[in-house]
Amino acid sequence: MTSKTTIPVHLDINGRHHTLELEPRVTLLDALRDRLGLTGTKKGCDHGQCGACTVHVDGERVLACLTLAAQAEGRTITTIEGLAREGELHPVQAAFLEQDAFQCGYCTPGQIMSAVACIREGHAGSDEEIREYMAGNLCRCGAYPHIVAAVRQAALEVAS
Amino acid sequence: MTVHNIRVGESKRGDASDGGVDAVGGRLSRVDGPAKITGAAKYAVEQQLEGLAYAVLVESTIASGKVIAIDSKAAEAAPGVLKVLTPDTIISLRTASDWFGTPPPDKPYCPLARDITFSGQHVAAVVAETFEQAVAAAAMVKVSYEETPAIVDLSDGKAGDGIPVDAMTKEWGDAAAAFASAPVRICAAYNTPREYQAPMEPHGLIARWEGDHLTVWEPSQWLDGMARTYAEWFGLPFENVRLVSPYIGGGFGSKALALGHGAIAASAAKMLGWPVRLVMTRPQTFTGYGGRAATRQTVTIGAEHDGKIQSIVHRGVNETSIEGMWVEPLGSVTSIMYATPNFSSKQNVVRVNSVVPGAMRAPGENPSAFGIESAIDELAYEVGIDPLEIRLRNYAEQDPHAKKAWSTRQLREAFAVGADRFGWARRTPEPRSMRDGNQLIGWGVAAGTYPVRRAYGEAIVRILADGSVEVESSSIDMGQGTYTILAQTAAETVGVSADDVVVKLGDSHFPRAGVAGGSRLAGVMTGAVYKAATSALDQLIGLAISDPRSPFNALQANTLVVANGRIGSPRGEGPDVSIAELLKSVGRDRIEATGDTMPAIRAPRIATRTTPPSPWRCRTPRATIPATPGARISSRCASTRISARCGFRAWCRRWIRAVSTIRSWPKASGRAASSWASARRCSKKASWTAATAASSTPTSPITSSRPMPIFPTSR
Repeated sequence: MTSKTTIPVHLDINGRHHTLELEPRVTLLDALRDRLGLTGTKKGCDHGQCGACTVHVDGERVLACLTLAAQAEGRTITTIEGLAREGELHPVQAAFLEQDAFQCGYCTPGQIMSAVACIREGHAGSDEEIREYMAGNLCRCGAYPHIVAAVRQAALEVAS
Repeated sequence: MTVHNIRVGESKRGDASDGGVDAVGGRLSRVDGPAKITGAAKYAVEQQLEGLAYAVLVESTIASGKVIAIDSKAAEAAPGVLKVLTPDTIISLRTASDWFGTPPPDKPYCPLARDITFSGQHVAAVVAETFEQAVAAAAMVKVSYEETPAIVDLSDGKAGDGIPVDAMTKEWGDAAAAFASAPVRICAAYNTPREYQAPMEPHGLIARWEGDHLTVWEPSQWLDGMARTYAEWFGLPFENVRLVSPYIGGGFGSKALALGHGAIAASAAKMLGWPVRLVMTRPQTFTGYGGRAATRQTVTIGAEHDGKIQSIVHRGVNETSIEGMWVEPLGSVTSIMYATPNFSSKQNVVRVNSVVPGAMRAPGENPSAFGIESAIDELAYEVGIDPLEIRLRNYAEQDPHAKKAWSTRQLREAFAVGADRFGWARRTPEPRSMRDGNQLIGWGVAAGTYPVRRAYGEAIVRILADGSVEVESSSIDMGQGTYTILAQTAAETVGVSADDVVVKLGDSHFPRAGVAGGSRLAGVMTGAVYKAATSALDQLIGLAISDPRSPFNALQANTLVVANGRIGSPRGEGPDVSIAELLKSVGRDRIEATGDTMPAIRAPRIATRTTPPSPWRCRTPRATIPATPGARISSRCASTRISARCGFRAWCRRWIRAVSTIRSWPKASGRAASSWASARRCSKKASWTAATAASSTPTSPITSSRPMPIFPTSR
């Protein structure tokens, strides 16, 4: 299924090592979704505008649609599928559930990945700050008040 | 398998202190929640199929004219390309029936255009082994056009006055004469721009053929309707098409119909013999299907000095496409909100070079309410009467046109509660009189209405050998909570915990449901599940009472009760056994019942699927102006802050009245935000609809109460 223009790309995703034969133009997002079946990371706009594809690369949030897979080689990638540890939900995931912080759920993985980083960055100190630092993640269903509440709740739990 | 199949686990239970979380109305956490927060929820186009090919659309770069040539040589020679589809090479399809199921004209349908009537029209498609190859090759397709002048939009000088839509005309009394003689007269124009559904999940599908059977994984608000369209395009029996839509990443009206890109992908899959995936790009979601049409309205009101309305003359125009017809019913709210002895509403549609507009969140009611509610505010200002008071003075005690009593209308009560909670009495009417530092504060009030729509739905409820309950229906959940409310309905009706209910939706081979749109699905499907569950429960109790092997046989009871998954007599005497134990004792591995919300005489058998029976067609009335008082009424108050220096607006506070549970808030909030966004984008007057001037500071949030919670927010 690939042409001769492919290169081997080694990706470390959620603690597992993958080697893919990819064209250099393949984005991290398409590699995750189409090559590895890790479809938890969503493609909303493919233009870096909606945040649905947010993943962590070396602990920092990045837009997988604007990142080539090859750029992530040798770095640690975490997706929504790798957030829960040993079946235990991450506090942000649990807070999203408890606060009913979503409807259709399509933006949710990106919101959660962004929220985890937002808290880690120390940008969840107030509702205002949460709104500002979560502004790159759109929710068309309009669940924003609950998303802010979930991030606030999770930030308190992480801090305690 | 792709079908949603989740059992409610302990981790996602709501707060049991609410009491009755399993029951309808209880605060059960969404049952699809865990799948969505862990990334496990596989949406339609995320199915991983062997040998999948990828299709990418080529679109027109002109708005009007003809395609005179398509040079696809370079694309065909590009690496990985399997096929280039053009109007000349795509297989011929048949025209499908419309939304209402009207039999189609007997003519071929080609989803790739030779005649261009809007920019972004599908003219070709490239299918390749990888997505990247298809994208690259699509850019190599060279399309030559013969361009003709286009009508850009409603404001285009070439657009004209349009075509009268007689079905939209509604008149009583002599509105023109009453207006001419009225002592107070206002006339205002309200324009709304094109608005787009823009769901987070783009439109797209995977189509796979197995012989003459087609499976389509596609986000859908109406599995039956879309399966019917695919069947008609390809000349297949209805049951040969299976539409699978386990989760939907938002639709807002745009995912109820099979669209041209679906025909292209399914054709490509058939031509190649490979499963084909086609997903629209984000830009294509603005041109590949229609959003809400741009509209223009004029509202003239003649009134007495005391604000009593004597006449409303309303004229509306909406855009439609060159070839398609879309009527955005602009008089739908105008005609029923206020008492007036004289009324006239008429509407035209104007053809412009655009994709045919489509359904988006309250088609008609949204711009209609915007027009009349804004005009009422203009009148209030003109006569110097409080905008809330003027709404009460013109309160429609009955349907103003049909002259029939409302079944219920509690707008007055809603206004009273809202005004009290909001502190409306503290509002001052003079412009710029309410301030907080540098910010000007405006408070506004508005009412709305939405028709009560009905549809039919069908569900199967099974009580399984282990005592669990299974629900199946082809209805869908795009976040409005169908999985959860159907679990609650079955749990409450049968008498088990919602933990023990599995709800399966999103497969057109399940019992059939109507469209998830127009706020009708919850009513339809909880009814169908309730009936099916009641029937299954009756069978269960019947077996327990009458089967000689049942432990209750000796009790000679008239009835038994089921609660918490256990069966016993109402008085607590005799045995107490679990559902599983009872089924084992009577030698049954399941009990199954079907329930529907069809009219009794027309209920079709599930087995006869060859052609979709007419009752399954979407029952939305063609004109949404109700002949009888079938409408819901809403009210809202809003506060806005405007910077005294730069005019920047921020939404401070709003008050919405809603009826429902934990899940209603995000939806109500989303809708209110939509209205707000509309108001912000529209004309200058529009902005002031939600922002009639006045002053105070926001008060603290109000605690919600059940069963009619009031949801406030401060921002």
